Amino acid sequence: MKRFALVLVAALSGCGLPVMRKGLAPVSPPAVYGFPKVDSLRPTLAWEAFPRPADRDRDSAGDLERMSDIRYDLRIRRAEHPLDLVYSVEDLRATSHRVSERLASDTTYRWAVRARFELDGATRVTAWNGLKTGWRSTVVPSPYRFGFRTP
Amino acid sequence: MLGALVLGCSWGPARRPLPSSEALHASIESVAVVSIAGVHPSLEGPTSGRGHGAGKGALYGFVALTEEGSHVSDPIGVLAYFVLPPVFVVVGGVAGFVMAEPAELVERVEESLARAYDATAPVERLRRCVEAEIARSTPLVVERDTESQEAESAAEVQLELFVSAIGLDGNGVDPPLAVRLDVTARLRSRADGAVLHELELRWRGGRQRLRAWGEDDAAPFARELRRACAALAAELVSELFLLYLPANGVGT
Repeated sequence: MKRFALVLVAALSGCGLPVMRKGLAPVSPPAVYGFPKVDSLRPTLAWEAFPRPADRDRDSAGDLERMSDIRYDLRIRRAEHPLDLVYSVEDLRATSHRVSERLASDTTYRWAVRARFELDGATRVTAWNGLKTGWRSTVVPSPYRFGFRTP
Repeated sequence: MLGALVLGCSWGPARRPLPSSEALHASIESVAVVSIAGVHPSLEGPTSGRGHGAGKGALYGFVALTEEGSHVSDPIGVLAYFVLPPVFVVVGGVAGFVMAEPAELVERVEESLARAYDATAPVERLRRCVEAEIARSTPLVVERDTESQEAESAAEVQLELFVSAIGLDGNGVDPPLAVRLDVTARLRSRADGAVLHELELRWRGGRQRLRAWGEDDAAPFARELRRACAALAAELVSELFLLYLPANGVGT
């Protein structure tokens, strides 16, 4: 059933349907089903900043006031071999990052980003961003990430 | 069906009972990690020899034909439906016989897998990985049950790990198999036994055939189990103890 869902997600590529996502929204490449082409083997990936307006809206406990040291973790895996973590960086201060190593050409990748920060003396993270699913269980490593294709 | 899939499965709300909250996070200072007795590992080859392979192949041939035949309504199709089964069964049986590994090899690999499983002890390894990950990435105090009974009882919450499926997974005569490791983690209050949070994680690794998993006394299998334990532990600790969950949010 889940394989069928993955095929369905792939089939929705390019249909223009709104992407059901979780976590920080990708800015570039955009959040779409499928693999938008990037223009370099060292692409620049960008995402929205944390906290987002929605986080501010629901911050009834005043957590945002106590947050500090916000940074981001980024991971890139080969789409066809999700176990292959080809790139991983932590503690990025900016909301964009140019991949420092050349990726393989004409290859599909999936990438994920999350925010990391300090709150009340402890390190906390947001969920890794990606396609939203209704599955009760979490698959590790998750195939439900945003993709891109190298030139 | 498509609508049901879209609305009910892929894009429905996540069904996580009793979601954690920042208040819950703030209230926990110590945790004990325990393993709950789980299932028997599935370490059998998909086919136990060429004879079994032939039988499976014949069955697949028959099923393939009947599934195809159910769409046929013209007289020729109906005739073919009754004439072809022996052909499909024979072809399937021969294919299954050829594709299946010899029984001796399957038995040898199964023994290697069992030895590698016992040596790796993945259920206990997972527990230890989770303990190490909690100690590494959170300020929580891990109360280890090996220290003393008193120390264990001092923990405010108990993290129960229940391995619900473990072994090699795949269907067919000699299909590519993947290591499967499914675990349910339950955070339980020691004071009243209430379940504070629950989540399910499933490892799905790379696929290769039984013969390859059994090479070098099943070293690839042991390696994959170790990798699964480490990855699941990191994900589990991240979701349970690091994930930011605002009071009225639905996940970030």
